[in-house]
Amino acid sequence: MDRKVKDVLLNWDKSVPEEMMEEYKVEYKFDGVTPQPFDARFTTWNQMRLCWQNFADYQRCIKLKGKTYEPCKWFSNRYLSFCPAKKRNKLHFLVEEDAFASGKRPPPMLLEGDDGHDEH
Amino acid sequence: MSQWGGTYYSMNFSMAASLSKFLYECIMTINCFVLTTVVCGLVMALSSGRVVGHCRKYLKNELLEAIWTIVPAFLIYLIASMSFYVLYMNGEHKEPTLFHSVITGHQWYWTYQYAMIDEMGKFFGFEHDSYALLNDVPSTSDDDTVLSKGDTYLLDVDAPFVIPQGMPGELLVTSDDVIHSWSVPALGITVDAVPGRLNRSPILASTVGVAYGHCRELCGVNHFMMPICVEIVTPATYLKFMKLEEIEE
Ligand SMILES: [Cu+2]
Repeated sequence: MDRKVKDVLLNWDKSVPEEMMEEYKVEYKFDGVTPQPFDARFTTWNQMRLCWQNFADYQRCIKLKGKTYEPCKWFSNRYLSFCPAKKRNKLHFLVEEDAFASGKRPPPMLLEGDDGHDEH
Repeated sequence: MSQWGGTYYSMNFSMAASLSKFLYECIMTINCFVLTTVVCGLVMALSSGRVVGHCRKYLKNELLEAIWTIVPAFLIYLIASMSFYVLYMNGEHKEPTLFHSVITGHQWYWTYQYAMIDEMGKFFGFEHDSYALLNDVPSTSDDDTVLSKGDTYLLDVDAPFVIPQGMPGELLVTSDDVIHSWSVPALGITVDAVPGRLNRSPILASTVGVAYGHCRELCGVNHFMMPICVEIVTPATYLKFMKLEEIEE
């Protein structure tokens, strides 16, 4: 029984009939632009946390893999799209001062009324 | 844009605005019906010579009571069904987002920040301020907030916000000092700009044109002079506009 469930989970795309798959295919093309998916971790109207999270992920990524590592660009694109200029400058300042606690909670300096923490 | 002396809403530039106008028209029709019925009933009751004798017909009239319970309930159901339809249609795009714009309110101007990723995965983004055109004559040699012929006072700005037509996007609205509100009725959008919050709003313009708006939250002495001017351009023009400048990270 368990094995059957596992098989279905692993080969879910083969277990669905071809006609049904056609229906779920997203056909969305626009010349010259890469579509940005919806981030289901941040469903609130307040997106300040998304900005901070992607910045932290970018810092972690370049710490592990170096600045030239291509996939890190995903996070940098994301935070550059979402962060307002003031917030971005503040985060860059923290990194320059070596005060950015990546992977931990944001330091109290950031919590001071300029970070969207009300969705917790 | 609204016309001088006009009494109706401005032109629609998006589905959200059209739906809001549709809801307004439906509810207005029902309101007119209710108002007419109630006024007619009142006039009939009050103008029949023997008021007391006439009103006796209303006492313990079960049919009448059933009607004036069921009809309003049905009307409320109608209004609710339409407004839920409009509410959920205005919620979220089906398609993935193609561009992001961060809008920051200041005392008393707006800053627009653009972001788009091209098909090669390259990031394009920049930002600019947008001031109202207020002066008849330039105050300094490099003053570009001067009204030229054809500009509208307190509506036109020196650098309008540019969005593409037919591309689903996302606006992120925030403020640097006090609460503002970014509102363009022709696009059906009003988002509060609250310091420390980054409010999200989907946007999809359906036609090319110029839409105007104002700050909708009283934000200080010069609240009246921070207008919003949105230029909706074709996608091809938008791509060219985006690739002119870029910010270094
Ligand atoms: Cu304002």
